Amino acid sequence: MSKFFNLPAELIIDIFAWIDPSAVLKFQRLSHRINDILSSKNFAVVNMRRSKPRDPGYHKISSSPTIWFNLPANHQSEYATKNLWSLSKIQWRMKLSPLHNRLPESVGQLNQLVILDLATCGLAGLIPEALCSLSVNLRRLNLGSNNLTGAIPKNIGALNALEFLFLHNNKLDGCIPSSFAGLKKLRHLCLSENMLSGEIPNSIFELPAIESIDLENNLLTGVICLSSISNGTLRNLNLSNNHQLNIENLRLNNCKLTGNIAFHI
Amino acid sequence: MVKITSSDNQEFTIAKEIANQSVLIKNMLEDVGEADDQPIPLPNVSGAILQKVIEYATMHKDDPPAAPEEETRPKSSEDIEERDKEFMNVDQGTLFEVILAANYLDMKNLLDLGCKTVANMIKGKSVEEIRKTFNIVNDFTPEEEEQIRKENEWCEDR
Repeated sequence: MSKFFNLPAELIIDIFAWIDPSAVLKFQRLSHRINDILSSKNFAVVNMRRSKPRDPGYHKISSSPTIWFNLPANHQSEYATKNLWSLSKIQWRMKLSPLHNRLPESVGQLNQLVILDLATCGLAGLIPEALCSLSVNLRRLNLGSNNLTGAIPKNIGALNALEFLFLHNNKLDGCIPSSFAGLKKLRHLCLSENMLSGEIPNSIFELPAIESIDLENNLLTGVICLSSISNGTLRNLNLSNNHQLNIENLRLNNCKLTGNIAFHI
Repeated sequence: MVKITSSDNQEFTIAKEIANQSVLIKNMLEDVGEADDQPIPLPNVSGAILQKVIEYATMHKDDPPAAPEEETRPKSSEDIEERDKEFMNVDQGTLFEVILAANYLDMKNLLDLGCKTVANMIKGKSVEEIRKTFNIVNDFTPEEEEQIRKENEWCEDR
């Protein structure tokens, strides 16, 4: 007699895929084999295809669209493709649970996004490198006041439409990537209150549209040379509390900088 | 008319329009041509199950062909015709045999019906109930199971 557990994987996928994603995942703990099957890409594709698409407007209204974060990675990707792809603005305020607080890789598929603002949501883990593929439309990126760790994606400079970059008040470490030179439209940069170290690439002071730079409370070092700033767009610069930054090496000759400069060392 | 034989050598003679509901048989018929009246062997399906499958195909011989899933609106496992519900009111062993046969014979509608029926048996049940219903052995350590349970806690009660 045929038994359920003797069915080939494709048929077990076909059966479970008829059950809504939010109701089917608990069956992952039936057994190792079923867990493997329900974690597969194939299952996510069929399961999400059969589930009802949610109105994109739902995400603008809802205060806690946490389901995207809660789903397993393969489902996240399908969910992004199906339910989030058309959004131009993600500005969610929510409290993510410690088990589901990673920014999904599939954020890189949302190439209609102009604004991605997930400040104070309890995000942790790395900023996915995939985020850097949102190069055409993304103008405002705010991941401030989370618990993000690791380095700033080294390819961040690919976001060449970016005007606002706020990654302050996280636990980011490593260097400021040299690719920052590619952020030709960047106006406001805030990386304060992290654990960034290494030399500050002088290219960030030379960005053509830059108006404010806040690097307060990091572990940055190096020689700051502002002499090459010629366009005069930079109005606010805050480098305070970078204890290894050698202020003696800060040269401000020929600089048209106006406004506030803070260096409380 | 088309002749088919089951794994246990039972021979069935069925109308072509019924046989054609199986993409597998349809393709075979196209390959061998009209002239050949040799029975088509179906070594993966027993006579009892083949009987059941023919019953389904006869019941649905006037249905329009199934559209590819991508082109249809999201479907629910609740969308089952009353006559199909009755048809699927069989023991578990037969149910799985019918699903396997539908898969082998490439009969999309019957496969969907079988899978929906099993999905409806699973829906709304607890993990423990499903283990019992389908004799699934829990091969996780308590720690592993707890880990997965925690990850899915947000949807555990649905």
